[in-house]
Amino acid sequence: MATKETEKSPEQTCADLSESLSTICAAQLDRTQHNMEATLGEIQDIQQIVNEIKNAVAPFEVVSLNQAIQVACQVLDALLASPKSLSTDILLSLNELGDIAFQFVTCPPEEQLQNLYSQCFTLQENFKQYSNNIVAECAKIPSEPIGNTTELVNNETQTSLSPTASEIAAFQKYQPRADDFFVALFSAGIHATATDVAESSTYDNLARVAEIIFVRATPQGSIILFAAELPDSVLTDIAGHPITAVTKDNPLSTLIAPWNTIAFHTTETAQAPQAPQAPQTTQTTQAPQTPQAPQATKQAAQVPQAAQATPQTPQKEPVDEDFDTQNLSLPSDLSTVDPEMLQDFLANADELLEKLSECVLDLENDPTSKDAIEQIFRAAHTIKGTAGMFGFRAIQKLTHVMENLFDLVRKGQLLATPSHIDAVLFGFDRVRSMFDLLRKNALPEVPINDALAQLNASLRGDAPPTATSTSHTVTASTPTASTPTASTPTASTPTASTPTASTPTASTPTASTPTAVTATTSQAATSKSSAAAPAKKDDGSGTLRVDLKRLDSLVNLVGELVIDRTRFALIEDEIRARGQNSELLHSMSEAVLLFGRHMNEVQSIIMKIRMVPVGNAFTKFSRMVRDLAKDCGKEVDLHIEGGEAELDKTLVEEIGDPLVHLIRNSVDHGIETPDEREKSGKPRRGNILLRARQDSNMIVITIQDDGRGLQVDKLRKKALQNGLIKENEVLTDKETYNLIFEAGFSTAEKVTNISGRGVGMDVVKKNITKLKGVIELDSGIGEGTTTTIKLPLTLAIIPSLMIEVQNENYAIPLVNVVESLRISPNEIQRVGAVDFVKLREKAMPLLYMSKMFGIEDSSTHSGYRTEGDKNPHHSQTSGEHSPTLEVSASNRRNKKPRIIFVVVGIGEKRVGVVVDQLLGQQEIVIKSLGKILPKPQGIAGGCVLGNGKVALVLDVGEIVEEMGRGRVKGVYHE
Amino acid sequence: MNRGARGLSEIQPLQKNPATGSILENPLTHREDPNSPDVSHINQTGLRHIGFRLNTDDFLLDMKFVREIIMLPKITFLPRSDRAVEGVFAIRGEIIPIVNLRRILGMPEGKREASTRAIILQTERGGLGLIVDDITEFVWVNESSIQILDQNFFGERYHFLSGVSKIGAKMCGVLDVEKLSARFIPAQNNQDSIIASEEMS
Repeated sequence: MATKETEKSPEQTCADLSESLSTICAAQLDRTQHNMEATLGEIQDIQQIVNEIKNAVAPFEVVSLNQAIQVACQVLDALLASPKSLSTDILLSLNELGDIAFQFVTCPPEEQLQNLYSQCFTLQENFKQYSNNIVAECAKIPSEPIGNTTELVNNETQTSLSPTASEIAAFQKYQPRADDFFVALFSAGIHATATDVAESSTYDNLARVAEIIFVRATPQGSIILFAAELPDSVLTDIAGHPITAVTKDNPLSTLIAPWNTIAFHTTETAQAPQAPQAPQTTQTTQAPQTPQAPQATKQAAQVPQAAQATPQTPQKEPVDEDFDTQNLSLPSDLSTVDPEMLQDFLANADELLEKLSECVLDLENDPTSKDAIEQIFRAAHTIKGTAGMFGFRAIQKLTHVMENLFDLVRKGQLLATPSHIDAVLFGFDRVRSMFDLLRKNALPEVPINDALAQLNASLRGDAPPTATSTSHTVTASTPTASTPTASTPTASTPTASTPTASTPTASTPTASTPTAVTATTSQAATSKSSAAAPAKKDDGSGTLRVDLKRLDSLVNLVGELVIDRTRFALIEDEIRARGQNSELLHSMSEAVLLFGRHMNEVQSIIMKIRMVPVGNAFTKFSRMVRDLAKDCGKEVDLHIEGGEAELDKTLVEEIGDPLVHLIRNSVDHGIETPDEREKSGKPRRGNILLRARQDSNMIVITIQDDGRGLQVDKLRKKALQNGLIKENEVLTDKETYNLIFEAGFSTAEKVTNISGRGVGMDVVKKNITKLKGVIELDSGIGEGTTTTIKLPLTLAIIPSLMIEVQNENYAIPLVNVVESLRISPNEIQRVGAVDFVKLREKAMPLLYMSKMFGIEDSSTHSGYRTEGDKNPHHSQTSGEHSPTLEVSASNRRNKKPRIIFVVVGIGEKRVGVVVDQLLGQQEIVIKSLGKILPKPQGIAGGCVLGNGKVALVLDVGEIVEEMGRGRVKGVYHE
Repeated sequence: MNRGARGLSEIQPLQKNPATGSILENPLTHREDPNSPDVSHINQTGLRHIGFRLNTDDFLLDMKFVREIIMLPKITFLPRSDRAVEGVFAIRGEIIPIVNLRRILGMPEGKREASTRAIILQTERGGLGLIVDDITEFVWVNESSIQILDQNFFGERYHFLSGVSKIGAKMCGVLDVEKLSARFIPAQNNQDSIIASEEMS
């Protein structure tokens, strides 16, 4: 084994080195984006790795590669000796160097070798260029004593106090722009080096709200100078460290020694040729000196994309240009963000997050799924890009780290392990909570350090280089990608300072415009996101986001129109009955008919607008079940079926919580532990099936688990204990199951944080009933439990059975109607004070509506209500929707009186409601009765009939419940 | 029926007043009384009130609460509600409860007649209808001319009256809309109180 390892070692070490180089480069890139300087120590780290790579590849005797590394070392040497910081280009090139070195070592096929050689050559040229530039730069700044810098190499902790050129540039940049400059001073001994300062939590917190300009650490103490637009008190809170405001002209002069000696000499930089281009970030001040030879892999690959994307999304352009100011100003004042854009962003981001979670879980199941990785990468990129556009640093940073992770996965350098997935999901939670804060118009100030730490830990912890040939695809494609870049002069204005045409590719003057930031990776982020956005739009084939309120008012209006249409039909009938003007009547009939037809169409379309797939509510459950199962130490698979069934949006939103409860219950109580399952001869993995299907005008959602099932004895014992049932009460199994919906019922012996507080199922039932739905439970011991939820497709329009009692019309939602029957009075048997009817061998209590509602009490009938043109037959109710189910020709006049009753029920409870007449089925729009009066028990609301009169809608749930408590007047004969 | 002949010195018909044009925008509220004398020269300070008749009594109601006045609509009985609530009706898709003040005041039951109107009030908690037998007048009423009723002296049924207008020959009860709508707020929102009130009725 040992020998084998030593044999493999050059490849292995090279892979490791390449890996660590790219990690360091990525970290540096991130820092550069945030205007942080790379410290000498970090540059030395890079140098060391490059040296190691050099040694590692030496045995392979690739001349061009060795040369390239040689030059890279020179560049790094020059960097160490100069006050310049690492530029993005150098980092990218270094990263590529690592990649190429790795590829050489892994012996690529012949045809690729050629490419690699040419890449090496380009790199070599570039590094030479950088090196020249750095040397030239040093020469230009005479004020930087060389002796000082060489001293620095020897002693890391001794950093020059005087600001570097880039720091001065940053200072100049923010001096006219920022409101105030602030400093955070640390006493001696807290931070040893500037790196320590930059890694402190204070720095991290500040970096999210402010622009850090200058960081120094000396044995006497350390300092952070930054620009922000918040008062110092707020900043103190954010940083968790005292913050002092300083003047903008000479910020450090008022401070104690040694800081007061530091001055940002504007004259010094004024000599520098790039001074007129002040509005640039630190890394871009270098850009003019470093001709952006379009060789860098990522950059080269992305620039053509950017060129494509920008014309498609012109609205993003101005924002991009203003990226820096946005960065500075936005986090301090959310109101400056265009609220509509923010809204769009949030809505979009929500979808993306949802998709991300989904894909990440896919990835967990199939770590090699290319499709999932690509999707994740794109979505994360989009979020990062747009968050950056708005200046939400924290989100940007977090997604950036995640993106890095997925980049490695995509390149095949990393295999996604559960620990990665956990870290990523944790990160999503953080991002989501930040979005929630944004939605509340608060600044997204959520601590992200923990999430970052977890991500980084998972990155560092196990990053086995699963070097496969697939990893080459990205880099291999670069030579072709670089050609279009060279041919497109990037549509930017070439500045005069750049014609350093030494390499063939650099001859095209690229980038280095006021928007030079865009040439760096942050550009890549935004351009990529903008490239992804139009692609997404194409999929949606022109969808439109509509304010729900507008849609609701539209639905209401259509409801009114439906009533108007019925009224027209009534008028038409009346005219016909009077036999007037047959010709006019004929055209009137035609118009009414057409109106009705169009109305129907409009109604069905409007109703469809509100419909969304119920699956939208389901997606989050995969994640939930996964987490829960992990917590419980169980193995559970969630299967989702029929997510495409459509349901009213409000219902989809409302159904989420009850489903959460039910699924939690299934995981926590239903599914057994793997060992238990094995004992009972089941597979170790439990299954939960979440299925939705449409059943005429209802949607049926079932949650089925193959767990231990409900134990009737246990339930009964518990119910007895809680006094829910009496000792002698005989209940069917089904009735017993449904006891768990009673308030205060819980069988779980120990209360876990997941379920078992005995409020869950009670609340679930209430919520479902509120949605005019029905919930039922069925179970078999050892077979599992099935919960069935039936919901109306929409809340706006409810199909109802219209009934008449004492000339008043009532509507009973069809959801609650079981059947309607007509019996003769002698079939009624009185038991005590209650009338019963024997229906299919079951006793059914009868409820007299007239008594229950006191309608027959003639004293309440006032003259105001009785109308002159009294028409007992409200013909509108037997309208065109469906044939009248049953109309008794006025049973009161009948010699043989008949009793009509409607069997209504909720769950297993059934009650026969005695009515005078059935008027057929009608679709009604349920309305509130207003807030002035307390809601009468047993009445859900009202609806407006075709004749303009209000019909009350019965709340069957309340009536049945009330009856169960023996409160209803209409049942008992006093 | 010659209401104008009362010759109230401080009550004047608003129909002639251009400042109150907004009231007249709704044709239903515009009940031209040909017998009204032109008394527009009289004092116009105070609050605009609408006068209505119930049984034989006259009442005044602050105009600012009035959303509109309509012909008495078809009313649906609302079971298990306050005795004074005649029922609910629908106007332009909104369902509004309507109150029969005769019940509160213990007057004999009224009858739907040609002059019967429903005044729709706008309260903090939504619309509320009032059945009135007739709309009599639109007047400016000074607050000083309303005599506050001693709440302890009169029975509970008069609580929705904020006072009595001293103006004119006839005493008019001045309605307090807030107190009226507050009457229906359940002391405790449970059904026992509702059933109790139902049984009491």
